[in-house]
Amino acid sequence: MTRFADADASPHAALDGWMRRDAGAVHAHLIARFGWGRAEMAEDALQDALVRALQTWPFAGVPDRPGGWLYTVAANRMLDLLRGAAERTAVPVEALTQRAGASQFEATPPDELSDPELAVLFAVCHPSLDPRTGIALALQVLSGFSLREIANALLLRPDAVAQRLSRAKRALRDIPGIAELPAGTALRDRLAVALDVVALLFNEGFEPSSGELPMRTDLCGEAIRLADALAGHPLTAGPEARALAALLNLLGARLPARLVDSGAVTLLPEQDRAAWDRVLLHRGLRQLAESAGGDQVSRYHLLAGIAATHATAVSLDETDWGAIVADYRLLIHLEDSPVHRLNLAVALQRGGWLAAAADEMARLEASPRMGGYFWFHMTRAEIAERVGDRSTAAASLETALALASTPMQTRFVRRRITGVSA
Amino acid sequence: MAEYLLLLRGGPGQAGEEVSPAELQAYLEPYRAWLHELTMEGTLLSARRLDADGSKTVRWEGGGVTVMDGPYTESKDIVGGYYMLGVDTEAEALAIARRCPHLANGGSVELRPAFA
Repeated sequence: MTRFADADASPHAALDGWMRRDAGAVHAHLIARFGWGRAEMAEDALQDALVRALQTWPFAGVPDRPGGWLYTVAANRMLDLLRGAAERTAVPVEALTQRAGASQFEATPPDELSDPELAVLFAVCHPSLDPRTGIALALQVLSGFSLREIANALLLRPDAVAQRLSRAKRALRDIPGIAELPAGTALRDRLAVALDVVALLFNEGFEPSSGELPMRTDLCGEAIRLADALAGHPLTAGPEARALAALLNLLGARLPARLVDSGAVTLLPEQDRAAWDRVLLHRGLRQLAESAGGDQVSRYHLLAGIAATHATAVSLDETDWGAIVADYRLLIHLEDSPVHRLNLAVALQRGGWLAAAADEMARLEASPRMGGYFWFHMTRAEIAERVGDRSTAAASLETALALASTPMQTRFVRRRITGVSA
Repeated sequence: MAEYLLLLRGGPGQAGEEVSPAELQAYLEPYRAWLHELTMEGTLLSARRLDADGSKTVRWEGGGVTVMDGPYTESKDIVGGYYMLGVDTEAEALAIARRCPHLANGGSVELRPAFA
């Protein structure tokens, strides 16, 4: 019963539920022990164990080691089923003689991953899977989300999620060595994909691509947890993993100010900086400092650097825009994209380099992706407003309103329209 | 002092129903709070979870004793555990049953006085 108190002490408490995390770890352990070929059976067995917990835990509280309890019940259920199948078909099934015990499941602290969990994370981030499928699978077998919760989070229908997940499990089953941790040169490539999947998971929570909810803090919390774990595990801790962890912690620090009581999103310029989460912020800054060890600068280093500049600025006006502009230029050098260039234009504008900002925007206007991009028109309006060009500002906001694809975007642009005409 | 056995019937967790860990955590919290209250006021004598694994049903059947496995967790009437209350009056036992979170979860509470 003290678990409830423990959960409050965890730095992830606001973002995460301990039961979800324990169940996710149990799921990963079951797959690590019984193989991807029995992943569906593991899913059913864990579901049985959760129902058993629901039926029995009200009577004497949560067991001291809830993960160990769930693991024991689920693993023994699988052993019974496999043993039954072995008897019927006379095909020997390996390792069925031993009953499962709670000692076979070691719960790790929230920001660490055990080897079975890490192997499962690498599997779901396998390059042969579409990254969004990887996210859905990670939410199920590492993070303890139910099918319905995954469907809600990713705006899919539950049956579509179930279908996608079972297809993915069948695909993974057939990949040789999928249960092993990657090693040598493969590790580097696989880790890069895994980091991208974790970043995508965070983004899905930070800025949902559609839907009524302005943010999904539970997805952000999971992504931060996984990034922290990768940055802390001896096998995966390198400059790039640390840089991603720094980035996600620094962005995560803004969540309390980003989502205000009204349920609307507040963007950086209007955020109450006093509401930023100091724990995440300082962890992010520390991780960024630790990420400087390598000889390569990754996208995550530069994005984390930008987030750190914001995190250490006392106000929007007193932000070191020069540093942010420099980081965006390096980022564009590393991987040119219209979205980076748009962000560069915003930084130039806010730093007072209006002519340079206008140049960037003029160049972007030719980019085919920008015409239908909501934030392009919002930025155009902001720059036009800044130079007193009210008609361009109003026209850009009208276009943005037509392009708004979520209620959050619509609310946001309506507020700006009122501001411009006032 | 009178003793009462308190059993929970029905409620969520029937076979085929998907239970998410987050829902389980949220589900348990009011039971924890309710149990804590009972412990504090000293009315809870004991509470036990009952394991469904290894449960047996023993019957006299066809002239002999038979032993069957079960009931299983899939059964609708699974008894997941029990509480023993020690109270002074029936009214007190009823008040405890009324506060039981199981009622809000669509279940019912069975209160059985133990003979003195």
